[in-house]
Parts: sequence; C-alpha cells; structure tokens
Amino acid sequence: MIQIMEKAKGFFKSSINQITNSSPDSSRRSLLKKAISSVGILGSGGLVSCFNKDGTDKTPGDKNFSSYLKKNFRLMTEKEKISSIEKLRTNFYKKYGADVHISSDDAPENTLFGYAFNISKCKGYRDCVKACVEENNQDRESDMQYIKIFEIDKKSNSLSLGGADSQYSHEVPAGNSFYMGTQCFQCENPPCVAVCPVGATWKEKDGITVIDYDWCIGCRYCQAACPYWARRFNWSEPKIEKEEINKDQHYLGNRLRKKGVMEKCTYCVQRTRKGKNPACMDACPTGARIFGNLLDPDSEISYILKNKKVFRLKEDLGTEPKFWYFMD
Amino acid sequence: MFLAPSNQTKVKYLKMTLNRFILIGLSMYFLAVLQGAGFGSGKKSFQLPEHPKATHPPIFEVQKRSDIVEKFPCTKCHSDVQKKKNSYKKAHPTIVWNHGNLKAKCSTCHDEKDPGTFKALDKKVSIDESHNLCGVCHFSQKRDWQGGAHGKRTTGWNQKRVIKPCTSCHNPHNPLFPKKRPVIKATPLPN
Repeated sequence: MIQIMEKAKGFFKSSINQITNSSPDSSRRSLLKKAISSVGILGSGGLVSCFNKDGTDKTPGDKNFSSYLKKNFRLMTEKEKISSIEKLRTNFYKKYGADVHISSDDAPENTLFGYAFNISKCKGYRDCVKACVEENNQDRESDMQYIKIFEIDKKSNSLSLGGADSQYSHEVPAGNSFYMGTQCFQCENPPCVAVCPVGATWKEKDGITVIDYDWCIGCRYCQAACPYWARRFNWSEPKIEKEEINKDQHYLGNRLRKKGVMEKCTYCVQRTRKGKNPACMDACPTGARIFGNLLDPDSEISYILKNKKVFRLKEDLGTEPKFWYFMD
Repeated sequence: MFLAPSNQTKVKYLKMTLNRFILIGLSMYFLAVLQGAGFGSGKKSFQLPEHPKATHPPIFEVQKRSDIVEKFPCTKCHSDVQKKKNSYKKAHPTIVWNHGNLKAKCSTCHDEKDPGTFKALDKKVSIDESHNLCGVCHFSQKRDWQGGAHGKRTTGWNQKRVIKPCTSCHNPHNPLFPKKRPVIKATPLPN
C-alpha cells in the first residue's frame, strides 16, 4: 500500500480504506467484500470505467478522476506509510520476538534495471537458487523457488525448454549440455499486470514488477498469464525457521507473505534499491549473471547489449523482457 | 464489339488528368507550408535525447591478489629460493598441469629469476595484474572482462566497479571448473 498509492489503482484502494476504516491487517476476503459494498456506495458505473481506462495518466490533480469519486479517495500520507510498516513490525515482534527492518525505498532516479545471463558460463551449480530462497524468505515447506536452471543438450540444437531437464541432480556440468536459468524477466509490457483484477501488481519506475501482498486476492490470473512461469502461489502459510528469516526486508519485496497470495522475483528490490546486486548474482561462482542499469552507458549490461550477441526468451510475444541471454 | 475513343475524348481525358495533377501538387504544397508554420498536426514530433556515450576504456579497479594470497611472496619464508636450481617441481608436488593442450614449462609464465612475479612475452607482470598475462592468449576474454561481460563483480550495481582478476576464479594450472552436485534440489514447476 505504500508505493501503490501513487498509482491510479491505489486511489481506489485508499478510498476503501477511508470509507470502511479497515486496517491493512484485516483479511483479504473481508476487504474484498467491503470493496464490493463500497463500490455500490460510490456508484459502480464510474469506478468500472476508471478501471477500464488506461490508468497511467491518472494523477491526483486529474479533475475528471476526482469528480468520479467525490473526494472519497486520497493519497496515503508519509505518516500512514510509516504506521503501516510499524504495524508489520509489531506483528513480527509478537510472532518471532525480534525486530525486523522493512524499508519502503522508492525507485532510484534514471534507472531501468536489466539482467544478462551468460549461457556459456553457467555450470548449473544452483548456487543462485539457494541464495534466492535464503534472501527472499520463501516457504521452506513447499520448497518454493523463483529460479529454474534448465539443462539443455547441445546436440538437441534447439533452445526449447520443453524438452530440457530442470530437475537434474547429477554432477554438473554434465558432458555435452549447457545451462539456462529462468526467473521473472521484469517485462516492459507485463501480461501479469494487465490481467490483475484488483491492481495488486504493477510495474515500478525502475522497471520492476512488484506485488502488494495486502491487496492480492490470490486469484492466480497472473500466474496463468505469465509466459515465463515466473509467478508462485502460497497454498499455505509460508514456514521459515526463525533463525533463517532475512530481517532486511522491503515492503514490496521479501517481507513475510501470508497464505493465499502470489509472489515473484523482484530482482531483490530490498538490495538493488540500496545499490547492491541481486542475491543470485552475488552468489554465482562463475560470473554468468550480470545486473545493471540499462540507462547508464557505462554499465556492464550496456556493454553486453552493445557488444555481445544477445537474445530473449519468447521474443515474439511482445512482452519485452528485460532479461537477455548471451554467449561468449 | 469494341469502341475506339475519338480524338475529342482523348483530349478531354488528357486535360482531366493534367488538372488532377495540378490540384494534388498544389494541395501538397499548401499542406507542407501549413505544417512548417506549426498548423496541421497539432503535436510536435517526439525526439529522443542523444544517447550518452560510454567512457572508453571503462573505469574499474581490480581486486588485489597480493592482499588475499596468504603465503605471498614466497621469499617471506624461503630466503634461499633462488639458490637452489630446478627445485620448483619438488617444492610444488600438488600442482597438476591441465591447461588445454598447452605444453608449457613453469618458466613460460613464472619468472624463475624473480619468484613471485610473472612474465608475459619477456614483460614483467605482478601477481595483481594476471589479466595482462592471461590476456596474451585469451584476448577476447580479456576484452569482455574489461567491458563487463566476463568476470565477477564484487560491489553493487551503482557502486565503484571492483572486479576479480582471472586467477581468483580460474586455477591457471588446471583452469576447468570442477564437477560437483548442485547445492540445492530443484522444485518442479507449479501446474
């Protein structure tokens, strides 16, 4: 609810908050019920058309938009942002008896994050997968993983992941194969955002698609819409040992999720917004993963796009992923 | 039955086409004048700002090997290392030479007269700049390493660029990465 308030869809959400005085902690389904009833109060026709239109140019000063809602919405203030994080901190303290740091850092200026993956360097050790699970507080019971490493036979002469093995457990690198990792590609034109019926997921200014876990209703439309198998669903309350919880968290990133919400890779938003590299890149022992700012001509990612032969997965879908594969 | 056009109709057609050409030409001219004056299309055409050029050569720092290697230099303990001839092989029994098909002696890369330094084609190279030695043969890798497509970065994406030198990741005597089991079991994709 922090950054989402800057989005048009956020106005709708805060309007619900104001009308029903519901706390962010109340359950999603009761919130949804309240949302539906408040739509009734406001007049559903106006709201529906708000959603149908492209919401990107809706700013707080947009007179047409505010006239629809009759000042029943407002932006979340800095105070409210802080209080909602304080609430999360208190909940965490009650449950685990320890303090947690949840940041709400905004996207840095003049930044568009991009990722490159060297398929001739990856050896399939899965160090990145391990680091990702530990960094992002994923459910240990269902062994949720954002990253998949596919083992592809060089003789197969194709890049089809359909016939590739992602469950290998033998010694790697195996004879005549190469390795290709997938995760969320942070599309410029994300289909997962377009299908979300409640606007709980959106693209940030630095190009990262994030989820507000308090607004997600768990319909899993986004999971079906994603052509890259990047989204994961919490079928049960995520379970992590107390000692294993990463306490350096971000509101839109690795804060603890609940049962029935979606989650996904955010290029480690809690790290990258502080100038660090994603955990998968830091963990990679072969240097196959390269992360950086696409708008910076001096960055490594810019060098790769200029000088190496790169390709993207399922380019024909027009999703414009910001994740490139390249070879030596 | 086919009808041939009379001379009169031929002239008529010619005049019509001429008139049309003049009309089209005039209207195009007026449109161009209007657009030039700022009428017509309402919107100004969008122009991308000029893309900034990358600095060349890229600015970066190489992590120092001399700070990491504990037993460097060897003369720290072995003061008489230069006196004993051909004792290097006995002194380093664990070193396995498996560097492609390259047949090399120790002295191909190591400076035997000055242990602790290297030589690349008779040019002295210190332990901290192994890229100048490896890059003699692996020049394309060196180029990518300098640019950013090869090698391991140790700092963050918007911090000062510090990269590891070749020998931090590659064992120069046996450069292939070792085979091992993956560190974590993969979970099948959700249905």
